[in-house]
Amino acid sequence: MNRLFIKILKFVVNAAWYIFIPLMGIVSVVIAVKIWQMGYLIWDIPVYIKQVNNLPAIQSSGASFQYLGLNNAAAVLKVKVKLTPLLVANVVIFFSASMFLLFGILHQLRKILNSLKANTPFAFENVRRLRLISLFVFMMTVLQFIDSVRNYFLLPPDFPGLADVYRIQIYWGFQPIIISIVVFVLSEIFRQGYHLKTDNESFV
Amino acid sequence: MAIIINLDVEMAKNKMSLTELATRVGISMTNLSLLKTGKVKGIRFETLEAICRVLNCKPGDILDITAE
Repeated sequence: MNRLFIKILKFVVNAAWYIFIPLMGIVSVVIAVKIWQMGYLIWDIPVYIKQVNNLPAIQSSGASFQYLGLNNAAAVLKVKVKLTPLLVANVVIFFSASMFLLFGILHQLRKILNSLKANTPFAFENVRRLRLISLFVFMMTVLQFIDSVRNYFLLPPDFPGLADVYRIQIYWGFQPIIISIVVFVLSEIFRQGYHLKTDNESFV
Repeated sequence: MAIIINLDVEMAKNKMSLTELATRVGISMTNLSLLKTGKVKGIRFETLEAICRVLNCKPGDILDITAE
């Protein structure tokens, strides 16, 4: 069962590696050309709607339920932004960094799966790979956090009434940080496993 | 290392080559060579027992200790 799962995982990771990379390259180029021709960019900004008024009243069919209202609903603001050199540089830097981290994770994962296939999982390289994955996941969270903080501080001055209705989401990335910590702990387990294996192999 | 391996002495007494001993003990030539040159961290009891049986000796004949 586990072997089957690893095989499926390996297939998925390889497919992502061989299909996703060229596809992402093509899609990125197409989107870049389109944005360049249009001269503006549709910027998605995750927000919370502070208070939603004028919604149709909903009657509850059960006696124990009562509709009160909608508060702090998650939404996405779609902002049309004119292309400026600063914006282009911003997009290119954030996009490249995200892609670098994503492909970094995929690359390390492929190598780990290959070592599983070769029956050499407790190798020192795998310790390093797991640490890199942990670091990349953490850096992705930091990148998204910086992105949201930038939106939080840069957007309200340009949209005076924005703060009355919306609250821009700050991305804390609680789950990815937990994943990053778990992977880091796993890397430490692998390091100890590697030492045990080396110790065992030095006995005849 | 304070522990020294006198495997070559016992092999010479029994006029046995490394290849023959490896085959009869059931370990690889590489591992036996590493053991002979003292480049291993330890020896398993079953390996020691097999070597002693093949070479008709006691563990103390193969292993010795020197003051560091």
